[in-house]
Amino acid sequence: MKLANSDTAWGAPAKFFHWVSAALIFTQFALGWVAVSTRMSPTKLNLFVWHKSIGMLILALVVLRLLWRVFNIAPSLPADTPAWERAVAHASHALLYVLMIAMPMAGWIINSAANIPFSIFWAIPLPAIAAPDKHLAELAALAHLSLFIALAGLLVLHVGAALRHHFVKKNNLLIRMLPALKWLK
Amino acid sequence: MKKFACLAILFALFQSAHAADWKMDPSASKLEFATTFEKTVAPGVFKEFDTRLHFDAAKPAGSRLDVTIKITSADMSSADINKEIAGAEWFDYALHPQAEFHSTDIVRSPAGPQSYIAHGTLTLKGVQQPVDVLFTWNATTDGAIMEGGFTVKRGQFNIGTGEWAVTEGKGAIGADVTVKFRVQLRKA
Ligand code: HEM
Ligand code: HEM
Repeated sequence: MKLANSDTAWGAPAKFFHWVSAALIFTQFALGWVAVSTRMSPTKLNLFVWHKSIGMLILALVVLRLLWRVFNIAPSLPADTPAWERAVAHASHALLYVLMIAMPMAGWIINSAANIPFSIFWAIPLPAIAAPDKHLAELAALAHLSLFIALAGLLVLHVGAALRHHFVKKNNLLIRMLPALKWLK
Repeated sequence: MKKFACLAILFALFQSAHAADWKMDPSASKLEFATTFEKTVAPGVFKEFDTRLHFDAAKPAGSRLDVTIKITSADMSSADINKEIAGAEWFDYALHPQAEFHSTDIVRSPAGPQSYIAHGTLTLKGVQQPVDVLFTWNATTDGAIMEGGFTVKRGQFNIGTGEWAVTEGKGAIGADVTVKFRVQLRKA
């Protein structure tokens, strides 16, 4: 198992970060909506604890992931990639990272401004990063929702691009991000 | 027998001559409570309450403590939570806007020289339960400070009914509610 990335391949940690984050983010979409639409009940409170806890876990993961990323090279894009596609790829990846930080930060602000007592996974009390303020809580919730729409839209593009590389351009871009085959067997 | 009764009355009069009537200074007094929400402490205050006291620190027998609490003044510093606790499952503001504590049985507590226990009755959400309130008494130049607290089980007062009655496990709101107060009293 290779740890470091090379010019042609992602190391195991990069793949781990990518797919664990992807899985957790999709879980968050579902959890967020279910939690919001459940009527007030102990179940709703629990769904929110899961949602907020996993969100904070994503925030921690993305920080580690970015550290790993800056101390590593990234595989280069296929040689035949046009300049505008390279630019879009880089910009969209950067934006994905920004959103992966902004989403949980907005959530954290909602939680602080709404002043809901909350401990991550029922264990680590989350400090407030804003004073109780109903108006700010509503603003942050609007930001959280808008960021979600932006992230969902960008992911459609991201996944679409990955599938295009695989099925249309028939290069190994998607394959090289997948876990090594011996793991899958 | 008649003589004894006279003596008893005299004695009582003598006693009450030393016991003073006390009134609360609301701006310098505080009534706080705390519960647990998803295993995290959730504090709150009752912004409006009043304390009346007939008390002699040297001879607590014959004292009387009356506290009224405006339940609808509860504030947990969260607009969302404040809205929830007003409902029928929690404090039920519409039917039970006020709580009361009355005690005519205040005794010294072994906890310390200035410690007392008020054995009394708490009426909350229409339910009456015996409650012991532990407090300390500190005379100051302009009055006295009464400080203390007690713990109640919210279930005894039907605070949190239906699925909220559960007090164990993840989604639960804790069973115990701790109440703390610091009351500034002035001679009435
Ligand atoms: C929540 C979901 C996802 C997020 C946040 C996400 C984020 C990212 C980011 C930031 C990169 C850039 C890596 C870098 O250059 O450091 C990346 C790369 C990649 N992602 Fe995703 N991704 C997600 C889901 C997916 C899915 C579902 C697929 C596949 C269907 C996918 C396929 C890829 C591929 C193939 C790359 C590698 C691009 C390359 O080799 O340069 N991603 N992803
Ligand atoms: C990557 C991380 C996260 C994602 C993808 C995410 C996604 C979502 C989604 C899709 C919703 C439902 C749509 C809405 O009403 O806004 C939602 C709601 C919510 N999320 Fe998150 N969330 C994340 C992190 C967090 C964190 C870390 C917290 C708090 C610490 C949080 C707190 C909330 C709250 C309070 C709501 C309800 C908002 C409302 O009442 O309008 N989220 N989230």
